[in-house]
Amino acid sequence: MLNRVGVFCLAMMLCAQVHSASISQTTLNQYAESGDILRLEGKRDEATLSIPLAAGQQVKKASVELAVVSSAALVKRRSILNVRFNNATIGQILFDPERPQLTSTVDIPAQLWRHGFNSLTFAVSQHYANQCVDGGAPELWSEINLGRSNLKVHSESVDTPLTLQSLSHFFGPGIGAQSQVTLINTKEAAKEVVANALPLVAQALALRSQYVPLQIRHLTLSPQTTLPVLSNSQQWSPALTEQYYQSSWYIPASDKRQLHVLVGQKQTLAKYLGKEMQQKINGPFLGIENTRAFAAAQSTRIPAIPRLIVSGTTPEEVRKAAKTLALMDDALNPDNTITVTQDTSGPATTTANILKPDNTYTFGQLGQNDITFTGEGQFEKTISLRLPADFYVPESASVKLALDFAYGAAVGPGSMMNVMVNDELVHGRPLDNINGQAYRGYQLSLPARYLRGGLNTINLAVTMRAPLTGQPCDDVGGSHMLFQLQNSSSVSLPEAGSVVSQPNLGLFKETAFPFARSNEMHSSGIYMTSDVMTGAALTLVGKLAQTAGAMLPNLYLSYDIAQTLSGNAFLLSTPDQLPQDLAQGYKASLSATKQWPYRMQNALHNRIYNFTDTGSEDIFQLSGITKQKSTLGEMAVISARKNPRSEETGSLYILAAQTPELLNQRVDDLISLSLWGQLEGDFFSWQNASQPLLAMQVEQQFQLGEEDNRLLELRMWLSNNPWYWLLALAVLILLCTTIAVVLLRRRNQAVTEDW
Amino acid sequence: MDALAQLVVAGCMLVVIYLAAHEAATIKRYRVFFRVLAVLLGLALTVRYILWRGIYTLEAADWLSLSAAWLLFLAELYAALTHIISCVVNIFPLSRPERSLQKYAADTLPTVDVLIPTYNEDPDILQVTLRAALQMHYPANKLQVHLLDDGGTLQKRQQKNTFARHQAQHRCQQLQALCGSLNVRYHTREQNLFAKAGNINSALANTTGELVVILDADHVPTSDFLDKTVPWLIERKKVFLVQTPHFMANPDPVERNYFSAFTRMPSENDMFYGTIQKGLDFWNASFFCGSAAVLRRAHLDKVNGLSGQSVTEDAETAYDLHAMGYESVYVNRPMVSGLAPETLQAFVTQRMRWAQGMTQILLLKKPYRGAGLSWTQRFGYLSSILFWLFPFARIIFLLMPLTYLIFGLQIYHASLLEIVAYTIPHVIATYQLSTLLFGRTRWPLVSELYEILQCTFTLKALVRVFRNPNAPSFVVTPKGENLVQQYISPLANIFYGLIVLVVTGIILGLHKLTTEPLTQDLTLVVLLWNTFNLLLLFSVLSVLIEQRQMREQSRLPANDDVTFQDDEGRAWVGNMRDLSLGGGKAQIHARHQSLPEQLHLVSWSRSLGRNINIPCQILFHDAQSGVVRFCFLRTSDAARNEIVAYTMGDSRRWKSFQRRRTRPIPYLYGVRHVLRVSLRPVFQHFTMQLKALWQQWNITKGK
Repeated sequence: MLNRVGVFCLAMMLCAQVHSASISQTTLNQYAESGDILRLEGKRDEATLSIPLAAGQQVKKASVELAVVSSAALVKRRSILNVRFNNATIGQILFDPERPQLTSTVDIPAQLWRHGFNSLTFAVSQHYANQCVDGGAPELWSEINLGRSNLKVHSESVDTPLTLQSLSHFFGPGIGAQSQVTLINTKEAAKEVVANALPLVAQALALRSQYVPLQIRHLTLSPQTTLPVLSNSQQWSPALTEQYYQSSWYIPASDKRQLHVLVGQKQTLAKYLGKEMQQKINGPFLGIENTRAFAAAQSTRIPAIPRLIVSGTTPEEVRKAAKTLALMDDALNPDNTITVTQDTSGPATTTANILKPDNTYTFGQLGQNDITFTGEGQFEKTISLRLPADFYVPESASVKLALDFAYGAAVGPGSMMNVMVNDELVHGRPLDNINGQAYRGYQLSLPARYLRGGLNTINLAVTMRAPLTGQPCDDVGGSHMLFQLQNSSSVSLPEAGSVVSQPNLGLFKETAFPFARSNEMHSSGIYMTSDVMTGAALTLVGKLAQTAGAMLPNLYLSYDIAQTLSGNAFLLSTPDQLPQDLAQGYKASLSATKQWPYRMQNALHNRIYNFTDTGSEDIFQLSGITKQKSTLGEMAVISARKNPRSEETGSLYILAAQTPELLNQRVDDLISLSLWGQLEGDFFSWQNASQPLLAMQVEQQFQLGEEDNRLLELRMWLSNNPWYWLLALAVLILLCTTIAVVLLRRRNQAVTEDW
Repeated sequence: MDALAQLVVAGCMLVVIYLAAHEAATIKRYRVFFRVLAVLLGLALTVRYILWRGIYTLEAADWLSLSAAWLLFLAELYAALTHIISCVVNIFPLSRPERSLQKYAADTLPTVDVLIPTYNEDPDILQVTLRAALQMHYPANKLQVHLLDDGGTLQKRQQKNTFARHQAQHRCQQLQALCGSLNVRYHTREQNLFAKAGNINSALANTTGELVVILDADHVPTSDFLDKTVPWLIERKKVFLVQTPHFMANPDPVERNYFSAFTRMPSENDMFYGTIQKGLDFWNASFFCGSAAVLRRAHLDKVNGLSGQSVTEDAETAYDLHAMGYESVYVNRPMVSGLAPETLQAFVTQRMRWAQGMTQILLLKKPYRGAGLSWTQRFGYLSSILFWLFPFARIIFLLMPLTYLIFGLQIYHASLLEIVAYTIPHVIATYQLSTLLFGRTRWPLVSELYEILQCTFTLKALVRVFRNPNAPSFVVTPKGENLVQQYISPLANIFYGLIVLVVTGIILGLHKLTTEPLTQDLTLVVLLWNTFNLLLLFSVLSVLIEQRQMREQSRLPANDDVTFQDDEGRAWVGNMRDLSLGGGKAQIHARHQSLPEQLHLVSWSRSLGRNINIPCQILFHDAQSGVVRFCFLRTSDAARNEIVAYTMGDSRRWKSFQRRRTRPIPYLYGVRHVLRVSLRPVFQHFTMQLKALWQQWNITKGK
C-alpha cells in the first residue's frame, strides 16, 4: 500500500495543473422513461425531458444533437419540431417529406441553464394538408431517436467559498456531480471507526446523490509513508514535509477534482490536518476545507482540492459526527465546520419516509402539490407510496382512495380518467359532463393485495379530447380544457402485520429489506474476507441507504467471519475464502468447488425466472446437482439463503467474485440503475452493468415476521399450510361430533327408557 | 388464512359432508355419528361465512351503500341463525313406537270429551266430522262429542243486521237438529269473546272429561285416533299433550296450481309434521297445533284453559305448559284429515295469522328468556317462531341485487375469489344439510317458492304486530270454497311489479357487465343471483293461476278390493283406484260387461271391522278396460256413516298416501324441474290478461 501511494504521488507531482472544468456527453435516453424512441403524434404533441444540473456547476457551452425521423406525408413548412429549453424556444427543425431522416444540432444558450432540473421540450406541429387536417390521422407522426441523440455540456465548478452548505453541490443527480468518492481513514484508526463511522459516512454521501449510484473507494493511510523524490536537487525540510502531508498526496491524479472524506479520531488525523483545523476538533466534528497545495520549486505539484473531515476525539464522537452528516440538512450550515454539542435523538429508525399501515395520508402529506392538466392530450402523474417491506395484509383488507378532483366545462368525447395502482388498472371514469364536474371524497375501495411491501405507485392517467363541432374542418382548440386533482385527496391504508417471505432479492432491490426494517432495531453486518473489499462494502451500504431512502444506523462493517453472524448479514468473499460451512446444505454453492442445481443449469435461457409460475418447465427438468471445480471468471454472484450462522431468523446474502478487485468492479456494476432494477429471486449473477446472466429462485423460502405476534405468525403459517388447518379442524370436529353423539344417545335413552 | 387456502379447506369440508350425509343414509349403525358430523361441518362453514361477512365485508363508500350492506347482512344473519337452530332442533328426529288401548280394561280408561269448535263452516262439513268422531274406537260411556258453535251465539242471533241475524238463527237451529240426530252435545255461548280459544274455554267449563280432544270443524278423525294417542297420556302423567299430524285431504293452492303436484310432491305441511315435529319431540318441545290433539284437562285447568293472548292460542298454551315442566308427545301417524285452504287468498290469510300469532308469542312471551324451559326447548320454540320472520329476509334477498344493478349501491364488498371461497361453500353446505335433515319432506327450491308467495303479504301483517303486539285478531281461514273456473289470483299484481323490477335489474346488469369491466366479477355474481330470483318469481306466477277444481272433494289413491252388487245378486269384483267422500274410481276385473245404473259397493271397512254395503250410482263405465266411476248415494244415516267410515275412517290410507309422496330428489332434478315449470306461466298470464282486457273492452263497447 505504501509503495503504491508513493508511486501515485510521484506521478501526481508530474501532472499539470488541475482543471475545474468538465465535459459531459450523454445520450438523451438516460433522461427518458419510455426507452430509446420518443414518438410524437397528432396535429400537435409535445414531450419533455428533465435534465439535471449539479448545484455547484456553471454551464459554459451546451448543445443537443437530435436524430429525427418524420412521416413522409407531412407537409413542408407547416410541420415543425420546436425545441425548447426551460420554456424558451432554442431551435426549430422543419420536417421535409423528401428527407424524412435528419440529424440536427441545436445549441443551448448557457444562460438558460439553472441548477436542479431543466426541461428540454420537443413540441411538434404536424400537417398532412394545408387545411382540414384530422388530428387523429395516422400519418401525423415523427420520432426522435433518444438513443442516438446526444447532449453535450461544458461546465465548470462555480468558485464559491467552501462551506458545509456547499457539500450538496458535490453530490446529486445533476450533470457535473461526483459519481465517485473516496473515504479515507488512517491505519491507526480505531476498529469502531471503520466498523460504524465509515458506513454512516457512505450513507450520508449516497443519500445526497439521491437515486444516482455513488461508487465509494476506500483508502487506509499509513504513518510510515515514504516521501517521494524531489526534482532539481531539492531537499525535504520539516516545513515542506508538513506541507506535503497536509496536501491531498494520497489521492490519485484522476480524482483530483473531487471531494474526498477523511474519517478518524483527532489524534490519528493530526498529521494530515492543519493546526487551525486540529484545534477546532473538540468533540463530534464535521469540517470542509481545501487541502493545502504542495508547491515545490515554484510550481504547484499537488493542487488544493476539497476535503470533508469527519472526526472527534473518541471513536464514539466520530460515529456521532458521521451520523450528524447523514441526518443534517446542508442548507442550514453556512460555516465550514461544526461541532456537535448534543445529540438527543433516540434510537434511529428508518420509518421517516415509510407510510404506516392503518393511517390516512393526504397527497399533500406525501409531498404532492395540486395536480393540474390543461389542454388536449394524454397526461400522467405518479404518486409514490413507500410501504414497509414486510407489509402483510389479509386477503380481504382494502385500501381506500378518496379523490378530490374536478374537470372544467366543454371537454370532448373520449375524455377520461384512469387510475392505476402498481400498473394495474383499478378504476376508470369518463369525463363526459359537458358542464364540467367537481368531486370531493370520490371513494375507491381497492383490495389491499394490489399493494406490496416497498415502493408502490398510484398512477393517474387523464386523457382530454377537444369537443366536436360536427362541422367539417371546424376544429375546436383544446386549450380551454382543465383537470385538477387536489392534494387534499387521501389514501387510507388498512391495518397490516409485518410478515414477509425471504429470501427475496426483488424486495431487497426495492426496499433494502431485510437490512432496512421499519420496526426492528437489530444490527446487520456487512462481512468481508479481505480489506480490499471495504470500498465495495461501503458502496453497497450507500446503495442500501439510497434504496431505503433513509439512513440505516445499524449497519456495520466486519472482517471477522469466524464467529456468529448477525441475523441478517451480507458477506463479500472470493470462492477460495468462503467458509465451507456456508456452502454446505445449500443448493448453489459458491466455494472453490462449485455446486449448481440442474434446474439452474438448464434454465439459463430464462433470465428472469418467475418463481411463482413454474409452468410446464418442470416436466423437462431433472432434479439433482452438479459439482465442479472452476473459477467464477469475470462473473459475480449474489446468493441469498436462511442464515445458518445466526440464532435469530434472518437471511444471509453472499456476494462472490473470483478476486477482491473483480468484486469491487462487479459491485460498481451491481449498483447501476440498469442492473439493480433487475435483481430477482435468490440467486443472481452478472458480469457487466447492462444485464444479468441469471436470476432464479433456488432455495425454499421462509417467513420472517413479527416475533411477538404469535397470532399473525400462526395466520401466515396456516395460510401457507392449509392442510394443517384442515387437520386441526378435523380433529376438533371429530371431538365435537363424538361428544354430541354421546349426549344425544343419553338423551335418547332418557326419552325412550319407559317405552 | 388467505382466500385460496380457505377455498381448499372449504372444498375438503364439502366433500366430507357429502360422504358423511351419504353414509348417514346407508349405514344404520353409525347413522347418528355421520349425521352429526355432517351437521357440525356444515355449521362450521356457515359460522365461518358469517364471521367473514361481519368482520371483512361490511364496508361501503357511502351511507346508502352501508345501510344496504348492513340490511343484507342482517338478513343473512337471520337466515344463518334460523339454519343453525333448525339443525340443532332436527338433529335427532324421534320415532315413537305405536301404542294401543287393547291392553287396558275399558273401565280404567279416562273419559274423553271431543270438542269441535265451529264458526261459519258448512253443516255438511260438520256432519262428516261429527260422524267420524262418533265412530272412534273408545268405550261409548267414556266418550262424549261436543259441537261448539260460535256462529250461533246469542250475540250473533241478536245482531242488528237482519240478514245475518236470520242466518245465525237458522244455523243454530240446523246444527242443534244435527246434533240431536247424532247424539252430540251442542254448545254455544252469549258472546264471541277470544275467538276459538274463548269458545273452547267456555265449553271446558261445561264438560268434565279427563281428556280433551280438539278437532277443527273440517278435521275428520280416523277410528283409531284415540286408540293410538290416549295410551301415551295414561302411561305418563306429566304428559299434557299428544299431538298428531294434520293430514290434508286436498291440495293447498301451491300443490294444486304448481304442476298439480299434490300426489307427487311433499307439501310444506309434510315437512313440518313429518320432520320438524319429530325433531321437536326429541327435545320435549313438540307443540299443540290447534287440532288433532289430545290434552289433559287437569293440566289445561292449571293455565285456565287455552291461552288467548295471541291469535295462535295452540302454541301459546303448549308454551305455558312446557314452561311449567309438563311434557308433550308427538305421534307421527296421520289420523286426522283436514281441508287445506282452496284459494291463494285463503291460504295467505291462514299464513298471516300463523305468522302474526308466532310473532306475538315472540314479543309477549320472549321465549329466548324462556323461564321454566330447557335451553333445547327454547331453541325449539325459537326455531318455530323465528321461521315466521322470513318475509323480512326474503324481501331483502329479492330486492338487494336491484340496489346494486339499478342504483349502483355497493352491497357486497368482496372479490370473486372470496365469494367462491366463502359464500359458495356456505350455500352448498346449507343445501346439503337441508337435504340431509329434510330431504324426504322438502324438495329443493319449493320452500323458497312458498316463502316468496307469502312474503309481501305476511310482511305487512308482521309490521302490524311489531307496531302493536296485541293488535291482531283471530281470522277464520275460509275452507270448502269451490273453484269453478281457471282465473288469475287477485294477488298477482304485486308479483308483476316485482318481475318488472327484477327484469329491469337484469337489463341494467347486462349493460353494466359490458360497459363496466372493472366491476365485472361482482356484477356477474349479482346478475346470477337476480336471475335466480326471476326464475322463482316466474314459478310463483304458475301458482297464481288458480286452477279449476272439478270435484267437491279431492280423490286420493286407494287400492281396496271391492265388489259391486246389483239388486239381483249379480256381482263384479275389482279394485279401487281412487276414493273420496263423494265417490270413487274402481276397475272391475270382468271385461265387456254392462253395469246397471245403480249398484251397491261392498268392501271391507277396517274402521268398522265389517263389510260395508253402500248404494252408489255409476257415472261412467268403460267396458273395454273395466274402469268404473261412481258416486255414493246418501240414502240413509247408515249409508252416511258407512261412507264416512269407509272413506275417512282408516288411518292406513293416509299413511300410505303420505309415504307415497315423501321422497327425496336430487338437487339438480329440483332445479331442472323449477326451470322447466318457470316459463310457461309467463305466457299463460300474458294471454289470460290479454283475454280479460279484450272482454272488458267488448263489454265497454257494448254499453
